[in-house]
Amino acid sequence: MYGYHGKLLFINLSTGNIEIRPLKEEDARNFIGGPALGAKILYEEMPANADVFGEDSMVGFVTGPLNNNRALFGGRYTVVSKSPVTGGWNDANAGGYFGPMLKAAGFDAVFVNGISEKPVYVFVDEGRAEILDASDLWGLTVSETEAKIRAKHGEKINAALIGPGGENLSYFAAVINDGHRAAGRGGTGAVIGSKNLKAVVVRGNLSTEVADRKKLVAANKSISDNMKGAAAELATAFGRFGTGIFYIPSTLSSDASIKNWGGAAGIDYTEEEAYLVSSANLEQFVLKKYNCSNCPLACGAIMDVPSERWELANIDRPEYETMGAFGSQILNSDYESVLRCNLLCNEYGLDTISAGATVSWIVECYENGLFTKEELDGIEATWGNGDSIVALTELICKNEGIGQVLIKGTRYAADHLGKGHEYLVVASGIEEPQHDGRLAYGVTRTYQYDPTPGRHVKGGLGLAPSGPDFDYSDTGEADLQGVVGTEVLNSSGLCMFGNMVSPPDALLNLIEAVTGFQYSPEEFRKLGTRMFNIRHAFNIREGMTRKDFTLSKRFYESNPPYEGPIAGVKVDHERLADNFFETIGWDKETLIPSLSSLEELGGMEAVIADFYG
Amino acid sequence: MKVTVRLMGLDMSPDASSITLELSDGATVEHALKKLVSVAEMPWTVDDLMMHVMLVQNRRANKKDVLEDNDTLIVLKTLEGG
Repeated sequence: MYGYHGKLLFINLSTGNIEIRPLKEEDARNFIGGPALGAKILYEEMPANADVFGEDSMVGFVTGPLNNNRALFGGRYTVVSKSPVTGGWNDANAGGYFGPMLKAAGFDAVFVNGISEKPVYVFVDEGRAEILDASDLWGLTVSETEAKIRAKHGEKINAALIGPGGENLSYFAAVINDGHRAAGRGGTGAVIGSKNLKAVVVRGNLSTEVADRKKLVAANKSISDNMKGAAAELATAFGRFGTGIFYIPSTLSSDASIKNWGGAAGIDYTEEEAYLVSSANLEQFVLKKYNCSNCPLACGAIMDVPSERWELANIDRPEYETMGAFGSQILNSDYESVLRCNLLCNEYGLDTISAGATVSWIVECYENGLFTKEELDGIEATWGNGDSIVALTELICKNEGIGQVLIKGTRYAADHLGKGHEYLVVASGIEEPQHDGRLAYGVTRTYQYDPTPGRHVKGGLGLAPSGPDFDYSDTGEADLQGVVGTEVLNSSGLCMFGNMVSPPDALLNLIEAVTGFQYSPEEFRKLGTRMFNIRHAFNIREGMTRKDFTLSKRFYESNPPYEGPIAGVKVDHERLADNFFETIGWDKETLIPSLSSLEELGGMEAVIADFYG
Repeated sequence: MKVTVRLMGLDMSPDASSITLELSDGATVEHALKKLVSVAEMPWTVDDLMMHVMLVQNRRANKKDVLEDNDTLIVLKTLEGG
């Protein structure tokens, strides 16, 4: 099999059993890698309704065929598990070097179930694996953990690990690699922590064979040429400013959250305030850039920022999502505080999107008199108060004071504290990322009904802003086409931003060059639809139906006093959903895919057996 | 009347390309962009520019919207949309 080792590693931490099983070529062709392959495996390996923190709960670290095969932008890998927030499917991906190194260690994926009696880590080394003691790592921050691991195993390792956030079972605990690359959303870090698993450490030099090396070289050249040609402006901007290029325009257009999704862009948060947090202002502090595996964009940056309040030396530039989450969302123009929060989340292993949203929620609650200073450990949680924003983030990171409740996210906090529900902005409990569905209407369907709700990197009608002539009558087909493309992208190992600066046929050309798999347009459609359906099937098997996929009002309806670019918007998100369900062949109430649609896709035998007997 | 048009692109400059135009009373967004393209050297057409999110007085602007004296029309060239 080209592009793959054809090997999956299974580890049971209860029994200590380590097993290598083959990756079937049929599964590789039908599901490619990443979240889709992970869903196929977990669907077959996990029983329905498994306790998310129990022995049967399985977590996966899944590569794509473009990892470690010299494909440009082929550095992404995916973690998969059940979500402690939604009770359904979760997948999250990250860049850096872990995915390619896992491949180099000899496996296409690692799956872990069971629970260890004491803290451990898994070491995968050139085709072999061991379970090793992690009692000296438990409780350490991400950088402390990585330093100890490297001291023990040398510099030529990579590690996907959890910080105290995962150990404390935060519902937005991330899996961190390379110090700052986060598979953040949905709480897989907590599932890992519940197993007393601190890290998966990988090392190796094992390569896989590529189907057509000349074709791969040609595909890479086509990408390079595009980056110098049609995509030159975007590529240069990414390289210089990172994903933060979106921050100022998004805070003006209302793409980004303003005042916990309740404010007016350009009015409650001005361009001048946005500039302070933006990459343009932070450029003065940049020491050097960094890239992910095989990435010519190098959108990452290390900075040294003078500060009298916090240690901000040798820190990462935040991504767009983090800028919005701790910036415009909380009316915060104090860039030092945004940087400090980003650093804290990286060190403690927390998703910045949900962390910022949780702070934003508690601030709005406080500003509306729902909490006293005493209830918030003496913190005056006001809009734009950088010191308070950092103080709240620290409490969450350290699981102290009110942080012990907030660490499980906004919906849990509102339920536990018995107030604040009116200020929640969640999709099935997952906090909204920095792309407003009231600007790009189609994304409301993605937020609500993707198998991983509340996610901006999932497919559909996309993030392009909608106009006054938005036509609801026939969105299903375009929505599904968007899903198909994104499913294949996310499962391949290719970076989404790299894909933005590549020619339209780059993804397929790379997959074909590496794996030899060829897909006609009809087969490609089936491929993406199958990938989406296997993730969805996990949710349906858990008993979820349409009524379980909920969306807070601020996702789709603008707020008083109705100012700004989204004033007066009300998105008919359920109509978008109806259109989509009709096109993809799901029952509109149960969301069960029709038998004929599953049979036509192929590769869904286990799902058909469960749903149709 | 005077209307300022700002093109905010990927260069992130706070001094985004900005030009003040003299327009007739009752001029629309489309009129402003046509004047802009005719007086300023740029690689985009009016249709190119109108593909992006446009803002006037912190609200979404459409090509038929009538402008007022001293308005600033911002074209967010990073955000293509309807």
